[in-house]
Amino acid sequence: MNKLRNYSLAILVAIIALTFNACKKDPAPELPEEEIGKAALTFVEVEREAHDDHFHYNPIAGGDSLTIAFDGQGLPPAGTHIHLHEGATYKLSLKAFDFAGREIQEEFLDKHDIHQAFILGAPAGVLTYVYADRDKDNKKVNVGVKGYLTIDQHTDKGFVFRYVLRHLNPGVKAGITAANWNDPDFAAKFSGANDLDLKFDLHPVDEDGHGH
Amino acid sequence: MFFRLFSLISVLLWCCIFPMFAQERSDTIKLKEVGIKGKLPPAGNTSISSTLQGHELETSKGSSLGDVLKVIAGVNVLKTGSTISKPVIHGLHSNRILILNNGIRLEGQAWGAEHAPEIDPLIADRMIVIKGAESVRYGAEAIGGVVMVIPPDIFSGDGTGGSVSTVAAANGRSITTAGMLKGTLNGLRDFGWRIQGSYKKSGNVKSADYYLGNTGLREFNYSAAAGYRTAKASYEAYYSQFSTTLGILYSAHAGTMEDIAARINAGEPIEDYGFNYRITAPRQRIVHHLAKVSARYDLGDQRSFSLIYGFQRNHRKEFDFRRGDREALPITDLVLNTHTLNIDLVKSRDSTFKRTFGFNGVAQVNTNIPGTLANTFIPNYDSFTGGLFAIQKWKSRSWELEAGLRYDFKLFDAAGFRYLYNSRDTTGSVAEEYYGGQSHFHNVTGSLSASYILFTHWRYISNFGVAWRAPAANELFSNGLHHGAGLYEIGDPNIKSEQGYKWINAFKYVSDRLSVELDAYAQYINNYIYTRPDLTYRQTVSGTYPLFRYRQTNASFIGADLSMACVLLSAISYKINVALVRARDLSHGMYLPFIPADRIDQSLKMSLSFKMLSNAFVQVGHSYVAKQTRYEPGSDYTEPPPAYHLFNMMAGSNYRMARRELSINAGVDNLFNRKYKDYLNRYRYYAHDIGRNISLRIAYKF
Repeated sequence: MNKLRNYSLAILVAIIALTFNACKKDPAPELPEEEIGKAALTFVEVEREAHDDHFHYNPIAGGDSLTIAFDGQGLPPAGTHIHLHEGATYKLSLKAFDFAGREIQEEFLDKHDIHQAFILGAPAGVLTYVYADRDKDNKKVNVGVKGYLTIDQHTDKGFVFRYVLRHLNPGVKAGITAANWNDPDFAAKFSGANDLDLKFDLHPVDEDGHGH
Repeated sequence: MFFRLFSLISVLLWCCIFPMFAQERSDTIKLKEVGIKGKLPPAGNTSISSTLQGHELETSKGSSLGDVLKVIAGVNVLKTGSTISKPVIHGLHSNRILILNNGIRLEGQAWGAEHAPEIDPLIADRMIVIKGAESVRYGAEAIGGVVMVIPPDIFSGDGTGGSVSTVAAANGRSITTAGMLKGTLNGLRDFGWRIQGSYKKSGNVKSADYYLGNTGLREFNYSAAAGYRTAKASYEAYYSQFSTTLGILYSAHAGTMEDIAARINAGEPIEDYGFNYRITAPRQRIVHHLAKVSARYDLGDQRSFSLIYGFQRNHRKEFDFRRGDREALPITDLVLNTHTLNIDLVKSRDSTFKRTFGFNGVAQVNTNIPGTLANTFIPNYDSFTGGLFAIQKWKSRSWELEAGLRYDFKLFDAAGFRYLYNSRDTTGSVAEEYYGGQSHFHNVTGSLSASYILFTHWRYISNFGVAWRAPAANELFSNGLHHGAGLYEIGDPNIKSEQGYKWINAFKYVSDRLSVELDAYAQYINNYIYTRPDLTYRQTVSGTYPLFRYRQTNASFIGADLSMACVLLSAISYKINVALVRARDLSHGMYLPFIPADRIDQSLKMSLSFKMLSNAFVQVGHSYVAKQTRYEPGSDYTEPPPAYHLFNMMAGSNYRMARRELSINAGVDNLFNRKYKDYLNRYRYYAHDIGRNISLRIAYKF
């Protein structure tokens, strides 16, 4: 009995001794690597050349080029309002940056089975968008890190152009085609969450442009 | 410092009691044949409680703790999809329900509605639900009630025995196997032991007409216990591990309000993932260890002393859809270590008087494991709670009276880093700030209860209790995206502790052919903590999210539970449970969200007689859950779902062979494969509840 008592006392003391080491560790700041820091969309004018049932896109020396930088809240510089010209085609490229300013858009291409961008906000018939991404094996994939945007018509006034890069739930991408690039019901039809939701004022103008 | 103090108290108490025990023993004649077989009843006669055991427990094997308990009137289940469920007692859940696992208060990350209790229901020999606010005896957080999970007594029975059981269910194609072995040592009958284990595997469950993607589950639990008793003392050691991996419904993965609105509009998943056992992100992985040592001494002169020490380690990892290859990295990685020490001194006299003095100590350390590369939702913290109580009981032939008083102190010391979303440093990175600090909470609680035999078969019990709880870490300090909920929750470090005043009355009638219990209660909660939309939004690069802030109000809960069982004919019996609860935010004159709708459960059971079989029966059951009409429009994403009826059927029997018994039960839940949604399922926005489920339970006791 005495032995049992001593053993049980020793066990209790040992357990309690553990509590001396149990105080919380001072927390270390967790680097926010999950956060996408900033993003940029670049429009570079290209020549669109009809080729059977599709187009080829050729660089234009001295063509228009502009970049819109978005901050960590997904906002462009105050007052951003850009004009793109009717009949022109632009190579639209995405750059996304992590918390440390490193480019991460390649991640979207590496995981092309769960990512796809949608181009929203334009009235019907104003824009045409064609995905132009390639995976590691140079196979065509629809992601939207790179694509060609053609201005089919000008509009009397601008609209909020919206670029949404969707992080899709497993299996959802299989049900999306290139023709869904501007599906306004993307949130309902293609479940997932947004990695990027970038907005700015875009005004398609006629070839002569107009002043503001 | 507090841990040292806590440890010092423990050691001193331990050291003090042995001399006391030794002194008593010197004056005592040891009677080897007399052992302490009985234990203090876990719930006193003035408690208003319901017990599940035997047949009722057998027929719910394979279900989660919440689903097992819902057969008790007044107990509902708060679900997050099909894999996570928590008990709700009289409209309260999570940190307002205290769960005692083999006498130790369960300490996990209970603050989350999507965090299920880490308990293997298959270990239970009995489950008791106490509906009163019995904080005096059990400590903080027993505002809504107490759930006690009690394993088999290791000293009961002779020789070695045990049981093996298998539960197979068609929906989810789940299989659950469990085994238990217990006995005494040859030649040392006062040494008892028990080992137990269970394993469960389940795949995607199906609603009435579609599979719910990523709703698989794996669970592996085991425990071992050993005890030794003498004429004047008993000792017990216990260890258990609960581990689970569970999937979170893909369709519930929604980011911004736009996503959530789109999902709600659809009402059910667009994708059909079919059946598989795969579990991928979003998923949870939880491992919970519990080690317990206890000792009880008969000090003579009708005095006894008991000491229970418990250590729990709760490791919760949550995995979400993430950028790149980071889905293998948890987005939440929390370890909560908890030490509990319970000391009771009991003095009785002629079964008419009993006085209990007790101390409950809880020391906790919560740590965020570094390396998640994501914002931490709650901080690291140390928490120390100490409570002293005294309970006095008087008893006569027809009445019993109990009064209790308790004082609790809690120190909460938190430290963490959080992102400053609206501030970036020169490199454009999200800035972080240090936060935390110490909070102190003091509370005096009390209880008064009485039990009176009104007439033959009639008993009246009245129980008034004051209970409290300190705010949880998330309520004080959360600041970030609540993954899966699509909202930002912001805590308030100035939140005060919550006090609940609950008066519950029970009228019981028990005769051979009829038993009726009517429980009526009224509860006022001072400083009730809840979240409310801030009507502002957080703008991020991935869209906008609504802000929810923790606030306090005064709330009332009024309701009644009726439970009746009667023998209609010699072989036919009928049972009905009715539960109603009404809850109000008194400060703002509004309804509270997520309050159970009115509910009726009834069943008709026919007992059958066969030569070789015992307890053969066929049972049909029906449940009706009304639409919750008492809610605030605009306070939720969508209005509560419609009322629904569910039917179930069960049949079974036992076959006895000397001391061995084979029992078989087969049942069908949601017999007509009704497509429905329940207001208390947090994923009702995105999907329907589970459809028809056929299950088969086979158990062999030896």
